[in-house]
Amino acid sequence: MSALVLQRCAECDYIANFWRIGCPRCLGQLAAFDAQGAGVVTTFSIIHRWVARFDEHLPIVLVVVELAEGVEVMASLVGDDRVNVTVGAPVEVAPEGWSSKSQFRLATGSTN
Amino acid sequence: MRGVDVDFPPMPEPLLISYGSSAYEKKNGRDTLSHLFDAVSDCLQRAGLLPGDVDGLALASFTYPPGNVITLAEHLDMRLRWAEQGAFGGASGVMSVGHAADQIRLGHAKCILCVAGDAFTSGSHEKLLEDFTPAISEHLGPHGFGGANGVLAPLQTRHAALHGTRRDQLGRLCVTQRRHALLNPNALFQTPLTLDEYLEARPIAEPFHLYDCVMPCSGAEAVLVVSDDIAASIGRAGVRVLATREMHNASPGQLSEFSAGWEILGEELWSATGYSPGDMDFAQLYDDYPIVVGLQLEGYGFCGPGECGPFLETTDVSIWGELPINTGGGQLSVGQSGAGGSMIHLVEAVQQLQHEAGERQVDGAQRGLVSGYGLVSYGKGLCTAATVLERANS
Repeated sequence: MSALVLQRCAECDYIANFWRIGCPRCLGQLAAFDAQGAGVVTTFSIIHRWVARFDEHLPIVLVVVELAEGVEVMASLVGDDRVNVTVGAPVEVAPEGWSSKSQFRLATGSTN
Repeated sequence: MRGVDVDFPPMPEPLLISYGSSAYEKKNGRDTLSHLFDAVSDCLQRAGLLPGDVDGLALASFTYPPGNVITLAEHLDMRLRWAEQGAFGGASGVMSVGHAADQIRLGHAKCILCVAGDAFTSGSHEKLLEDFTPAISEHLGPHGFGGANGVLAPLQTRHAALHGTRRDQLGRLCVTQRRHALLNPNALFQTPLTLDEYLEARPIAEPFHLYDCVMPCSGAEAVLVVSDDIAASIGRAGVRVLATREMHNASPGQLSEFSAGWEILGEELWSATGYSPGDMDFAQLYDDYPIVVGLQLEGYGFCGPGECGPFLETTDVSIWGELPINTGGGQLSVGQSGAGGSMIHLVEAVQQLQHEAGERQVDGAQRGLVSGYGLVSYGKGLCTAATVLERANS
């Protein structure tokens, strides 16, 4: 999955960090939009052990990303350099992700 | 106005007078109902009571469904005037005691049993975690998120980045809790743990390594809250429930907050009781991970914000020390019996305050804080609750 899709409220511009049925702030309707797909890692964990069907993807780098749109999402990183992640590292949506959900990679030019 | 001249009788005072545990065991042992029954039986018999004496029941269990609190009452022939199904993960136990105490003050029930526990088989714990909440199954499951380990390890990553918190500081808590567990026959870990062993353990979800993580197991825990007239008739002084507070989804829409609302709970509890952290003879703090204990220490004011690392490095938190923490070994060294982990610290606290903790008794313990935390979901635990308990007549 390449594009990062978020929801924005047509009434009050609230942006949801994960899918919501309606706007929690004003109860208006949310509409999907393509996010910029860029953000900064605020924290992370590096997973070495989980259920067997994910074994080929270990170690899995689970990240909290503060997106350019200002909301925080949880996702995973791809790329051989993913374990070099640091707090504050810039990331971008990765078109080569293996998950059914949008994944990120360390941003090109990142010095991490 | 009608009713203004009614002379209300004094409110009954709720007292915790008993506690009980099932014999813990590793996965693939006895089933959930068997563990719940053993904890109930241990708790009631210690008070000289039977299921027919119970008129209020709170249950927390992930593996008992489709059974629930009422079918457990049906199974045990209990006639109830109050019931609660705890859906609040590791906060269920403390919440149930707070709610039970309120029900007794209101006169709605007089003898309330709070029980929590689970039994797991191979793979059933991972299955539970993958579908733990709607946000997890929809948004985190497809990332191979690593369960609660993966979701909460980022707390430690960020705390280390901001405050320099080190593994050898947090590890001291695990080592101390293991010393306590060696004095607890129900603990599944019965060999000492050194700081070197802690530091050299294999990584699970970095920065969490093996001994930062609880071992899922099968077991159940129970406590009994009764009105003061029942406690007097039984001849048990018991333990007072001075104040209880809870909070859920403390930081809506945000993921990088350290606190689940502990500063607010602490401020209210200290104000309501007139005590301060320094007055506590022990703290039983929810210990799914040592960093979560550290964050509670900060939130409740045992140390300053960001200072849990140096605090754990320089404070003796053993039962012989300045601030005894998790005096029964906690989940980290006893085992995490699912929802039973929400009750294990209450069982230990009541035991300590009745001076029945044997070899691991905190000398002269008069009062302590018990804190629960749980329902791990999208990037954080959602529920927390805390209570201040005090030995009656102290």
